[in-house]
Amino acid sequence: MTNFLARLLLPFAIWFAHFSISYGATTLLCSTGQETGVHRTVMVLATVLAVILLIATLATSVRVLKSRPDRIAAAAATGLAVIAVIWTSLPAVLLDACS
Amino acid sequence: MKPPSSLPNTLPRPRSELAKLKAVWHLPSGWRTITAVNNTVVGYFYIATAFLFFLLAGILGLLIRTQLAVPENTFLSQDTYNQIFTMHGTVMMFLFAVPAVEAMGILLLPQMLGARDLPFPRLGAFAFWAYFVGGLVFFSTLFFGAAPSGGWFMYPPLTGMKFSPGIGADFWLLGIGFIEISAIAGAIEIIVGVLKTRAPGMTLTRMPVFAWTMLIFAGMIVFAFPAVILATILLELERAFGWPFFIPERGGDALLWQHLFWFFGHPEVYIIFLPAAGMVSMIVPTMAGVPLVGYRLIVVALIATGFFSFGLWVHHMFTTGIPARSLGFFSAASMAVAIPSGIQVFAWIATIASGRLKLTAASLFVLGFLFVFTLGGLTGVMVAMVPFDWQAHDTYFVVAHFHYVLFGGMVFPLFAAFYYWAPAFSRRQLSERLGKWAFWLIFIGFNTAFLPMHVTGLIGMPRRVYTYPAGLGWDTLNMVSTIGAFLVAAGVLVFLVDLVRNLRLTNTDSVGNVWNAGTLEWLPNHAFGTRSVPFVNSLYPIWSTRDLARDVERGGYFLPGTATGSRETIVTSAVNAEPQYVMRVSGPGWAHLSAAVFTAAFFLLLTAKLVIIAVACGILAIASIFIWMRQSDPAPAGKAAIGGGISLPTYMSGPMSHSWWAMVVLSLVAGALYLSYVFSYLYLWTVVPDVWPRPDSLPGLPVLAVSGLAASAVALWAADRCVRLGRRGAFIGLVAVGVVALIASLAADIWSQWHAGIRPDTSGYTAMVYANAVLQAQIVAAVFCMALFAAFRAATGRVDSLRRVAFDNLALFWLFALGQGALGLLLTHGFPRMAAAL
Ligand code: HEM
Ligand SMILES: [Cu+2]
Repeated sequence: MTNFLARLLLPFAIWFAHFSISYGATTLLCSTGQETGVHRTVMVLATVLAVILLIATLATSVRVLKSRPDRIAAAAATGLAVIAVIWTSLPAVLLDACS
Repeated sequence: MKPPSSLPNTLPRPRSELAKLKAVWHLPSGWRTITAVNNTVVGYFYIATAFLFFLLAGILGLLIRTQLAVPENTFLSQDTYNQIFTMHGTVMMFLFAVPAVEAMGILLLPQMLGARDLPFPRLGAFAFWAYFVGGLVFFSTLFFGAAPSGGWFMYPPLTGMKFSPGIGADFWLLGIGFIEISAIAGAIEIIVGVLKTRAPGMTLTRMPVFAWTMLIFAGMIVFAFPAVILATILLELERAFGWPFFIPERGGDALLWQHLFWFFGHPEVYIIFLPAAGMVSMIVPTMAGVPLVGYRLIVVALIATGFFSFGLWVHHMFTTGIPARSLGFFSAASMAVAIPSGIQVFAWIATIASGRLKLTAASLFVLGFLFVFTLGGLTGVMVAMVPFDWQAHDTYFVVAHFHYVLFGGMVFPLFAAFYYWAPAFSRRQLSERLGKWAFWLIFIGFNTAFLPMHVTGLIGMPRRVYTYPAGLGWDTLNMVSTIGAFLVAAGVLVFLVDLVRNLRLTNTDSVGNVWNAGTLEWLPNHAFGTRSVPFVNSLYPIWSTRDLARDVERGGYFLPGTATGSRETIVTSAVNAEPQYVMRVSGPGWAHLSAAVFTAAFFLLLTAKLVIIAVACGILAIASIFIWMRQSDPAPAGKAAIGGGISLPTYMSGPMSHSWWAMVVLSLVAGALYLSYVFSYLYLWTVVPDVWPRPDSLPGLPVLAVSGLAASAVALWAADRCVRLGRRGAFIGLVAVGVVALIASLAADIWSQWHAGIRPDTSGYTAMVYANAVLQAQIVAAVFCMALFAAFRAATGRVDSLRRVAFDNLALFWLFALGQGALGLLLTHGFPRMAAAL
């Protein structure tokens, strides 16, 4: 049971970390005058890492959680977080970030 | 916890048991009712006041519409108009919407969770009275022409000293800042209440969706409100002492305000909406006669919405010239948040489809909500697209959009809630006939008023203009909007008639479960909640347990009387709801009331620059809080049998106790405030790095300040040992030394900055340095007061190895002060050196 709440919060915590890090990193890189390529690499890396982490937590969640509804809920949370992570990072990767 | 195989307490119960329970929970009568702290009484006061502000701000809305009905109208002057729309927005958001949902939580949660009361009844009452006094005074500034006029989001430079020299802006900053403190007090109450006072067996997955939403609501308040509190502190420092945080020509940045405001302001929209969604999730299953479809998915969606809403704030700033990366980032994030909202809407529709919806007044308001809110969501996705927003920003299109979201997402559900829950608290049901009249008038009126505004905006009418010339094609549309607004007013009037005719609030003999609902708030209720505390085995216990209402009312379930002779409720574990101890909750009193009044007076007098009286009121407020705390620190009183062979302690300290949870949440609030500050500091540096000093003009390394913190930490550690060993004298001495060291550390740092020639009003950077000291001083002052209290309790023999809550609370906050102090030194001394090296 304790796990259920943690398993619901974890994906969103990962989303939040990804969000803060990529927003913070781009702001920092742009304001210190790094070129766009550096920033793009950072974004791609952060996003890939976040998605891998999300999938890994889902894998463990499915193992830890006993009931089917709980697993579905964990999967839904992960799904939403994956969409949000990819969706927010797309423009930052595709656009010329520091303009 | 396993369900009990038979009723935990034998029936029938002795007569005296109920009599004693009644006596302990007796409500003060007559004018002493204002000292009452029962969640129902405070809940009634709270909702009534919030609704009063809805009416007042609604009247302001009508004044706005009257002024705009025809072109070149002279009904209101420009300045009055500015005050009126600012007050309309501010009052609707801060004095109606947030308090109204908080009030619903205070009224409904204990009943719904099977608790006798909230864990800190006086804190809830304090929050209410502070809001009541502060709100009324704030509103009355309008009658003196001294109301703020900078719009509800108060952007500087317009609201800086140069362009708003009057006192109105200060009223906004101190008044609203203060009312937010009241909201935070309520949020702490709600978090601890939801997590710790649920009936045995009500695991998190058996918790009603409304309770989930209130938990998320309160959690969001904890993280969002500190941002705007910090913003108000900074702007007030700028206005009062000339510290130039937001003045670009002096090394500040006006956009910093917008970041802080919207980091609060966007989640605020969901803070208002989520509890409303929770209410809808309670009403729909009952009216359709089936369990909610996709309970867990809804919970996931709610949590997702809560989180995602913190990543959207910049979409209010698309037209400020921010870089492309921010535009893309926040535009995309704004669209992503539509997904969880969609999940909820589909779950409600599926529930309606799987049952048979009774078309009651409450159902009508829910359907109205679905329609209006969905339209608001659609225009929301439109304005989330940057090119579209560039066109629509600051026009009536946006006014239309956010009224669809706010009125649709919050006012319709609230009316549904009134019609739905009234029978649980009133001797008479509200009239279905009047309710349907009210609904149709409000629904048709609302759409008549606000649908045309989309067009008015698209053809170019800006918001916040007090009049407009004829012949631009805006005339008819505006007239239609005004007629619609008065239709809404007519609907609200019908509702008021219904209230007067039918609402008969009661604590003993409500009509009861007329809708055949399944959740606990529909059990027979009294001033003490239910007669006995039920065991919960499903999401809809009344549906799933035979004769639950009867057995609960006869006292067959847990704690059918009072175990210690005072007011009590059962504390259970946060996730699995295993009984942990019986907590004594406080009854009626004056101390929290005078604390509220004097705190309000402190802030308001400060605004009026009556510093000496303000300080006197501040001292009286602290004294009141001392008395209040002294009364809520009961001695351990042995064990209590609650039935079913379960015997629980009646005193608890440490991580299981309710006070520990409250202190942790309070520390989170303080932490969020400080993180907002760290963000502001770093943000300002990215904008105006030139005003950051070279390392050689910095003060030397803060050796003294660090040693002060270290000494304080050692004293804390030693004081803790003394509590364990029962050494009273040494304990008091160590607390004194520790607090003095804490103060000395802060003083040393301020002195070193000053000595290095740094003055707060020089630039954005220097202002930030001293803002750090201000924030630390607040925390240190709180630690000082708590230390005084703990020392006082120890001196009179009321702190020992068992009874240690007074010290535990101090220790937690003390630890926080040490952490924040260290972080502050790292930031103000370390960062400039690091930045110079970059
Ligand atoms: C009958 C009901 C209402 C009417 C007739 C109404 C009317 C208006 C109008 C015409 C404006 C635009 C004023 C201008 O830009 O010059 C406005 C602004 C606003 N309204 Fe309402 N409103 C109503 C209800 C509400 C509710 C229920 C809420 C929130 C819960 C709300 C929140 C706001 C806010 C935040 C603003 C922006 C104020 C600003 O620009 O600073 N309103 N309202
Ligand atoms: Cu927003």
